[in-house]
Amino acid sequence: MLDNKSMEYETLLILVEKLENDKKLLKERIESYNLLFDNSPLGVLIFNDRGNIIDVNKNLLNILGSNSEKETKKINMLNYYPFKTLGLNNKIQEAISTENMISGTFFYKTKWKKEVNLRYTMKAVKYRENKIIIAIIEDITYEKEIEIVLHEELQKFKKLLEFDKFLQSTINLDLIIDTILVTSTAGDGFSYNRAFLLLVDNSGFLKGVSAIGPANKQDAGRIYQEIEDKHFSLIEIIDNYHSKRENLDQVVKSIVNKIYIDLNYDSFFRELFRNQRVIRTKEDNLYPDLYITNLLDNDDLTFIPMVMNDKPIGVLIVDNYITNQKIDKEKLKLMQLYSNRAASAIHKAQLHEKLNQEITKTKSTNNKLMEVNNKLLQFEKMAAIGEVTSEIAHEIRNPLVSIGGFANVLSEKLSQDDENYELIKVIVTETQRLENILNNVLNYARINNYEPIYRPICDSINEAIKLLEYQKVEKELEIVLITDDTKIAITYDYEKFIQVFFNLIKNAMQASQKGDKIEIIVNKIEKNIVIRIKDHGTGIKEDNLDSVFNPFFTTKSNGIGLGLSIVKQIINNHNGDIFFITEENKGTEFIITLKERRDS
Amino acid sequence: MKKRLLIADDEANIRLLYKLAFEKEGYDVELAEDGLECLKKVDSFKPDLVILDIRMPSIDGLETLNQILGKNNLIPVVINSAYSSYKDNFMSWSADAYVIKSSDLTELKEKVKELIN
Repeated sequence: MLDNKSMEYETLLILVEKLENDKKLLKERIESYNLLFDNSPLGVLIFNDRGNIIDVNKNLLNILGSNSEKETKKINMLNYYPFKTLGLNNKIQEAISTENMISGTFFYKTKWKKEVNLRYTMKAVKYRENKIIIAIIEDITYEKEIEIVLHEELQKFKKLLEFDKFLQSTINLDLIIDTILVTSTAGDGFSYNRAFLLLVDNSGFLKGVSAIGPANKQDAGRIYQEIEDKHFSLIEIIDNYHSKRENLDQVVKSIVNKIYIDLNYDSFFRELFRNQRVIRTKEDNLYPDLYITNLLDNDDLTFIPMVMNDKPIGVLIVDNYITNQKIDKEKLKLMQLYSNRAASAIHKAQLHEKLNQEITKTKSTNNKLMEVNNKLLQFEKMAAIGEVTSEIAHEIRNPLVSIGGFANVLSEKLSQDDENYELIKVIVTETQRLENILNNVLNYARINNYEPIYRPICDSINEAIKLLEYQKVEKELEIVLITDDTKIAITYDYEKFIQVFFNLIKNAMQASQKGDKIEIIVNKIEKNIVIRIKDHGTGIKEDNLDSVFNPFFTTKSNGIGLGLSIVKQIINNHNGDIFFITEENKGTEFIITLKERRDS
Repeated sequence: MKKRLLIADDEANIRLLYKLAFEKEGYDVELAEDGLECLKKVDSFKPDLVILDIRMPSIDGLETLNQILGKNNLIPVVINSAYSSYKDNFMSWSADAYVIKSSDLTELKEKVKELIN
């Protein structure tokens, strides 16, 4: 039995030893758990299903901003007021009843009024008859801050993309310029106080084109208030600005218009383009010519080069003239990105403009060529007419001279009482009339001989009116000459212009009804003398509009139609122009424009 | 003694008219149908003044004028043409007068009277 006993004892010893060992292991484990528990970067909280806290680790106290474990343990998780207001008690109940993993975030104000953003994860586990809840709390304030910053940056990029889309969608240079300026200064954009845009022109000069910004502090308040009151989107602000661009920001625009820089001689701007890096005058200790800082009334300026494939496009100058706020370096990076996109839009618009100019040039050359061609045709026609008419005139004049001449001889033989005297006189006067027509025709062939004289234009008009006095009285017409200055003079062929006005006034008289009024209005408009001959007569029929100035065109039974074509020829030879406005049964107005000139 | 007038014109009616009109004025009038006849008559008739048409068959008025001047540049010559365009021709400048044809002979008569005395 002793053996048994000793055996039992030994077994017991082994068992004790084992237990000691287990206990040691357990102790080690607990120590390591406690180490982990206390030194975890996470806050750990254990409480029972009645909300009483069983244990907390050190870090939880840190997170909650508490320095007393004892005080903290007094909190009842289900009744603690700050948690209740956040609805956390309901979350705890949910964790207890479902035994699911529950997580979420909440803001918590610590003892020192520091607001932290916390994330919790909790799970209920069975422990004997009750449940205990293990909760892990993380401080994610910094993480969230980063997230917010990232989100803001993302928004900025999104906005930048939006501006860019807007910029790239147009080839209207003015609109692009306005977009850049508004984006630089609007609160929703880069919110600088002022922005000045300079562009490189065709001859390699950097030239101020436009600017935006207040002239002074009062102005600044007014504009920003206005924008904020109306809650415009940036695109709306740009549209609005663009539609009123001529009237806005006159002061800064007049400043920027004075900037004209030769890139060959200005080392500051040349370096700006070479390095393609933003220059902040104060921070980089690099200043442009004093002339620029004086003009902009500020030496704290930021210069953003706008470059497209290494080709200088322009420079954007921004500053905080009113608020004197420091220019933020991070924002500037975005600004530079944006300005390079703007450069590409400007480059595109400039190319387009150039192309358009080329097209217009080609078009106008074409038009000029056609004009010259038409003139040439007209001249050829005239020359041909001159030849033919002179030939016909010669052939007709000889028989006329015989007829009229003999009639004259006869009339001289008869006494004035003779019954045939009057009849022969008719032959004489009618022959003379035919000869006058011939003179007209021959004049037409000879109208290129000029005798210029410097004389008031009204002189020739008055002379023509005098010549038509008889017909005027006969038709009871009123002819009025209206002018501010009867002394307006040019170098012109006085005699030929009597013929011009004679023809035009005579036509007007023929178109007029008895008792009508004919107005002749003489004005000087800039360097042109404008003469308008206006009647209230029958007007010119639509069918005839194109032929009015053609030689030999006439609607009269007793004319040969050279009148208006001679008129046009004379005026054209004076580098002038004639055209007309007519309305059937309302009247016709002939308008002559002559360049004011004085030949020595 | 009547003054002698030589008139050259290819148109018969004109010649007849001028003959009537100038004889009435008291001139001794001789006529020529063209330039060649005119030149012959300058020698034979020895006129005090010549009235020359320009457009004529054989040799024209300007050439005739040229040859008259070559013979005797003392005879006054009046060019009488339906064309005003020859006024600018330097050849016609050597004539003493240039009168454009007209049924009203007053101007021509006055020029002749002025030059012949």
